This record gives sequence, structure tokens and C-alpha cells, in this order.
Amino acid sequence: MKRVGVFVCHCGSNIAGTVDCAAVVAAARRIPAVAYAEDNKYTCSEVGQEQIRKAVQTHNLDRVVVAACSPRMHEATFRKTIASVGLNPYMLEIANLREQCSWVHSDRQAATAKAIDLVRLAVAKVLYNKPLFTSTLPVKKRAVVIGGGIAGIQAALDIAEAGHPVTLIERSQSIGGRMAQLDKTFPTLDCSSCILMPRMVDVGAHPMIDLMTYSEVEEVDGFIGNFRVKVRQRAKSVDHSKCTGCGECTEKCPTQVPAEFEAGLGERKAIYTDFPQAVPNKPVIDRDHCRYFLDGKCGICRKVCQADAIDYTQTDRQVEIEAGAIVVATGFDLFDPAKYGEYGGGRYPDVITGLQFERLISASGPTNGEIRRPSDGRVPETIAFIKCVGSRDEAHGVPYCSRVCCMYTAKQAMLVKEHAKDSKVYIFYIDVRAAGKGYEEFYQRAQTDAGATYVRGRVAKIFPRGEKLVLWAEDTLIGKQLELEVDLVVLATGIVAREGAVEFAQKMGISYDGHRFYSEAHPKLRPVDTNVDGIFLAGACQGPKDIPDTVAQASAAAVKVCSIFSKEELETNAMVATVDENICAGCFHCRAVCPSGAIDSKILHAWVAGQDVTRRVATVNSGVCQGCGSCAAACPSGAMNVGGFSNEQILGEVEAL
Amino acid sequence: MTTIQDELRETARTLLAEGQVDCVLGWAWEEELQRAVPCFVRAAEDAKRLIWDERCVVSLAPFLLHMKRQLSSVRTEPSRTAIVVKGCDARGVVRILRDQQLERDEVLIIGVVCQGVGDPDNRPAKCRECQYHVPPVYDLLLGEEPKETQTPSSPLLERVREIEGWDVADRASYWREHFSRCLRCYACRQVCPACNCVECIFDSERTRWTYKRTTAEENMIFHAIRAFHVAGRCVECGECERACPMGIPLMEINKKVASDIKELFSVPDAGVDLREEPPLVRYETGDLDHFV
Repeated sequence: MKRVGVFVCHCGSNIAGTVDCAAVVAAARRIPAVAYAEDNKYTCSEVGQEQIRKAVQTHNLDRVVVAACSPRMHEATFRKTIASVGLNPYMLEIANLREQCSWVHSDRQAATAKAIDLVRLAVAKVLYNKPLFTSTLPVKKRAVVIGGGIAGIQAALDIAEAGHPVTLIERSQSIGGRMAQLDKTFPTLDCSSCILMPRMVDVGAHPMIDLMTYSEVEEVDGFIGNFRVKVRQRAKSVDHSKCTGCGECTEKCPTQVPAEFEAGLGERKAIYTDFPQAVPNKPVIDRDHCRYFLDGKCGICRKVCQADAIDYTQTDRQVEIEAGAIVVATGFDLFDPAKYGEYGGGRYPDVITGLQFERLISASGPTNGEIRRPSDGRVPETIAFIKCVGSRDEAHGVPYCSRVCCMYTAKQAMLVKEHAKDSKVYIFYIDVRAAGKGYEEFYQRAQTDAGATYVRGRVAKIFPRGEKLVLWAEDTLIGKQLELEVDLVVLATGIVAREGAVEFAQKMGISYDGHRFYSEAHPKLRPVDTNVDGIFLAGACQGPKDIPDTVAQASAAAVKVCSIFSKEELETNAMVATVDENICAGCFHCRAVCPSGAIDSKILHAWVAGQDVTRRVATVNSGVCQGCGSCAAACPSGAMNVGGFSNEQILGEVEAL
Repeated sequence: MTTIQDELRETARTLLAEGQVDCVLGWAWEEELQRAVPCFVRAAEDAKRLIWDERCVVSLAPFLLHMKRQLSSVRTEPSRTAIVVKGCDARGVVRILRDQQLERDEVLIIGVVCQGVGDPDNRPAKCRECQYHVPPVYDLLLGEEPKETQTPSSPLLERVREIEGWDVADRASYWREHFSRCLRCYACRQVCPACNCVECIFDSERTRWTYKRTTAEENMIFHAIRAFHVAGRCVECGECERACPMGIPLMEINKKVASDIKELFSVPDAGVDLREEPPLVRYETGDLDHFV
């Protein structure tokens, strides 16, 4: 005889405020299989869990229903609770009375009726629960970090410092990412390069870090503890084992190409490093622009190279890395202001983006740190900064706040004072958001020390008049239209997800939100985990973030990786698909729909009429299976069943309704 | 003049004599029953029993499944069967191969060009709207490919559209009437090339989805489940409707599902390509998953 215990949680007033918990308990007691039912104020508390343990022992319960919050919240908690008194942890079902009932309803009577139904369903399901068991798999103690910006650098260093090997994969020639492009950082105005470059050097020199630049991840397979990451290492055309990084080839290369690193304001050669302090500080040849690759002529770099390192015959290489955990730190793109036709849509050379301004004020930038107009090289007398370009603007861009623009604009206003102290600065804003440590004080200094004039209002239009640019705007604090002539306009463009972010997420099987940022497993309690165990997030690929938050998240991701590596073996998911080999027809529709590649075929032998006869059937690799259930839905024969969601269990629920 | 039937007998004889196949599955005339029945020819001299003409109505494709099921309990050596198919039957063979019930090299497909079977004055519905006079897949083809073919209109699809136009109560009573006559003899299942489960859920003792009573409700569940099980895989051979002793218009259901699937997923007809990927059993990384 099956004996079910039902525990109804008040969750303070979260559930009890809308649902009559006593009535739910009374209704549960009337269900024949329910041997015991009670309610608690907080079932998840130590007191509540003790009640469950005591009831299991006193009333000889063999399965338990907890009617409380979402199973995502506390299913694991209660599994441990019942396991501690000798039940199989999977003899548990959760009835979600909070997220799916009390929080979304206001009618007490109807909500109570629904809560009773939810409990009846859970009881009907738990009656068909079967004990499930995990197995263990060895852990590959190597981490792959994807993206070599500050997030990836920090994560890689932290993991390597803990003693675990790391492969850091970067798409461009050098690591450094966005932070390397910045001049100074808020709110301390310390030099971005001065704090970043030493870390880049550390990465390059660290014995535990295997740096793969000019490389892209092509495929990710496997599962926590046992990922296989396929990387395409693009042909650098330079043998880095011979190259001394003398720079002679770059010096002599006759081809000029707009430099990605200079955000379009400067040029680089066809054989290049991203910037002078690049790591690795050895060049690559951009085959799309190199004359040798375009028409077979030139070859100057090979002639001047003393080390004989130039190798035009190199080909792309596919490398497969086995790793136990992955940190995704793929960064962000900047909003493209071309969508703002009223700001010139990219037609006016003196309307630039915040990142371009960073390059203008950088000592290693195209103007050696002097603020000069891109059009005529003149030092601007008046500069207007426009905030929320793309951010908080659903008409042109995205609804969210990009978090960094208020602060970087304040910083840039202060740097104007350093670089062109006679220039006048206007900042157009909607609100000022300065909610970090020391941020508000920094913003105040931008007004007092730097003398920036903050004007509250959106700029409606920008158009040229002679050598100047005219801004039409409204000062919403005094309710007046204003017209302003300036020499340079800087658009504080917002942060958007990387181009190709969705395709990349699909390669890894991680989920993403409506703005294509990667989703954390829980917004509060699992902010660096993804929905795939063993894959973690760091930095702005998860959402707009400044440098301190990015570094904090990267270190958090590193700790998560290290905690996986602290074990020799990992427990596998118990709620995986199983095949009923007796009825499997071997059609392998399951294999076609399996997103994890968990299904294989095997030959079944049977002794029939004195003969060894064979039949091909499907088999599930329980370490790879994520328990998504696609196979169970696709199987025409019903041979596939997912542990914890078997046909019997689902049907039990249907019958109870 | 050599007929297709002459060619067929010669082909079968050669295949068996040279040991290219172990068996040729075709039709033979059964005098007692007065109809063409499946004939498993295993010796070259028996090839002359094979016939090909308008009397060859029955699709032989499902017999491949039955053969495999029987053979799998006694077979040790790999074997190869030649099967004679009309256009509609070929799609059934594709179904069986695509569902991996047989390996491609276990089957040699002898296609025959067909201009319709049965009584010339009263052809089966599927012949009247046939688009596959030449089998879409074959290893050997007997007969001349017609020069021009025009896609005929589909009275069956028109019928489906007509039923779609009825209101719910009328549709319910229409099907209730038909299903109340169903005997649950499962002939529709037995002749279906897409019904290739090892154990049918309707034979299973464990199921609680459905019961074996032959009430209109239970029968409706049976037919609904069957329609969904073959959704996207049904090759529209019409054998289920032909085999039904109670004259239930099963193809009206299958056609409805097939046309919905074509509309939803923009896929070609099922069973015309050995590389086909039935839309309901396919996964791509590009599939929309914003609801996950």
C-alpha cells in the first residue's frame, strides 16, 4: 500500500494570503492514498523540514508531496530532506502553489480550489513515481574560457591560479577586448591599459593557460565534466614559434586597412597586431586584404622578416579540446547609431560614438590623445554628449538601460577638461543613473570640477551649419526649446548583444532572452550559471555590465568552475530517458530530435529457436541525456520514457483532473 | 510485343538465378479467391507465376515488415528481397526504409509504371488523383515513363475542405457515426507501412490511455491516436481505407493531417525521398525555442 505525505506550505503570507491552506490540507486528507497531511508556515525552514522527517518516520510514509513554491526553488532541498530519512530522493513531487497559484490569483475561493486540484495532481503523479538513481562520471579538469576580454581574462587567471589548466579562446588577434580600447575608467580615472595590460601579460605567461587567439569555437558537445569543444584556429600566416615580434613586417607592409581596434578612426596594416601592447605581440596576416593573397604579388613581409616566420601556406586548423567546464565571456556590441536618422545616421563625420571618443583621447589612439574633429582635425570648442542613444528607446533601439553610458559620459566630460581645457561640454540626458560605489560622487564632480552642463532632454535633430553642427533639443526642466551650435557630438551608444549571439547560444544549448543576451539560470540565486550544467557566464554577454561587475562575475564563474574541479567524479542527472528495449522498433526518430546527442544504437541479441538473432534498438547515454523529453515525444512506440515524467505519471495527473 | 509482365518475369528469373536476391515479392493470381495476392517467389522457375496488370491493387510494402518480423526470429544470414511496386507502394517502401525497419541494401525496388489499378470504369479514389504513375524511388524501372503528366485535382482534398467547413457538432456526429461502426479489427493498422511499432499500444496490457471496448468513444481515441502516430509519415497509399471492412473513410482524416503538415512545415509529400526528414521527428538548432 502506497503511503503519501502531503505538506502544505504557507510561505509566510505568500501562499496563505490567497489560499486557504487548512482547506487544502483537509482536502488532501480525503484522498485515499494520503496517509498524512499537514501545513507549515515555512516548509523549507529547518523546522518545516524536521516536520517532514518526523512524519515520514512516524507515519511510515513512502512518498511525499510538498505543496509550496516552484520546484526550481526547493525541489533539491526537499529531495535531500526525504533522502535523509531513507526514502529515494525522487519519491517526491512538488505542487507549485505559489508561482502558479497564489501569486497569480486574487480570488481566495477560486485559488483554494485550484490549489486543491494542484495537490490532487501531485498526489496522483507521485503514486507512479519510481526510485531513480544517479551514476558518476569522471571530470575532465580543464576549463575552456570563450572570449578574451576582461571577463575571460579574469576568469582564466582565477581558474589557473587555483591550479587548473585553462584554454582561453579569443576571436581576434589579441586578447584585451573592449577594455583595451578604453582610455580611462570610471569612477577612479585610472588608466584602462595600465590596469589591464599586466593581466594580459599574466595570461600570456601563465603556465596553466593555453592561449588560442585568432580562433573561433565551432561546436560544443558533451556535458558537465566532459565537454568537447571544437575550435577552428584560423591561419595566422605567421609562424609564432619563430616570430620575435620585432614589428618590421608591419612597418613595411604597404596595405592600409581601417582598424577595428580604432573604431574606424584609424588604420592598420594587412599584417598587424590589434594594438602595440597586444598579447600575443606577434602579428597575423589579414588574408582578405593582403596583396599577396589577393593577387600573388608583394611578399614584402617575407622579405623583411629576419626570423623567416612568414608562412603563406598555413591553413586553418581544427582543434578539439576536452574540458570539464566552460566560461562564456563573449562580450557585447555597441548599438549602431545609423538607426538614428535625425542624428545624421552616420553621415556627419563629427558625430561620433562614445567608443570613438575613447580612441580620440587615448594616448595610443589615432590622434595621440588629442581631441580633434575627424572632419578637419580642429580642436573642438564646444562638445555635446547625447546619452541613451539606443538605450531606453524602443522606437529606435532597446527598452533597457545600458548601465554604463551615464558613467562613461561623465568620465569623458571630465577627460575633456584634461585634454582640451577650454572646450565647453553639454550633456543631454533623460535621467542620470549613478548607482555604483563612488558613482554618484563621480557624477557630481563631472558637474562641479569639470563644469559640464547637464541638460535634461532628448536631442530631436542634428544638422550641419557651416563648420558647426546644430542641435535642436528641449530643456524639459525649464520647458524651453533650445538650439545649440557645437563642434563635436558624442553619442553615448548603448550595449547590445553580440552579432551572432543567438547562433552561438544554440551551438552550446544555452538559453537567451528577448534581447539575445544569455540567460542566467536564476536571476538572483544563480546569476552566473546557465541552464546547461557546467557552462557559466561572465561579463556583458549576459547583459550590460561595467568593469567592476564584469570582473566580479568572472571571478564568480571561476569559483563555480573550481567547485566542479574539486571533485574527481560528478553525479549524473537521474531524470533521464530510458528505452524499453522490448518495444523499441529501432526507427531512431529519437536520435534525430535529440539536442544532446545522447542516443546511440545497440544490437540486441536474443536466443530464439536455437538461433542467435539480433535486433537494433536505441540506447541512451545517461551522462549526456539532459532529460528534455524530446525523444519521448517523438517515439511512435512509446518505448522512450523520461524518469520522473513517465507516461504513467503524466496519465495519473490527467486522470486526477 | 513484350509487356511489363513479361519483363517482370524475366527480371525476377534473372535476379533469382544469379543469386542477386533471395526472394521476389510480387503478385500472383489466386484462382480460388479470384484476386491478385502477394507472392513470395524464391526459385527462378517460379518467376512465371508473377503477374502485373490492373488486378494488382494491394500494396506489397507492408509485407516487407511482416517478412522482417518473421524472418528476424529465424534469420541468421543477411538477405535481400526484391519487391515490385507501383508509385503509391514505392512511397510505403520509402517509409519502411526511412524508419530504419530495413537496411537499404536488404531491398531491391522494382518499380512498374502504373496507369491505375482496379476496375477501369471505377478506379479507386487514389488512382483518380495519382501523381506518381512512375515510382519516386526505384532500383529497376519497368515500363515507359509517360512523357507528360499533369497534376490532377484532388477530390479527396476538396472533400477535406468541405468537412472543415462544417460546424463542430456536424463534424462530431459525422465521425461518431463512422467510428461507432468500427470493429477494432485493426486491418487498417496491419496494412499500414507507417505502423511499424514492435508492440502496438492498442495491444499493450499496460496502457491506460485507451481501452479495448468497441464503443464510439474508445474507437475515436483509437483512430485519433493512429492518425497522430502516422502524422507526417503517412504516405497516403489508402490501404487502410481499402482494408476497412466497415467502409470508414479513413483517408479523409489522413489527408487532413497530411495537408496541415504540408502547410505548416512546407515539406514535400511523405515517402518520395529516401533522405526525407519527417517534420515532426526533426530537430535543428535553428528551431524556435523562445518558449523554453
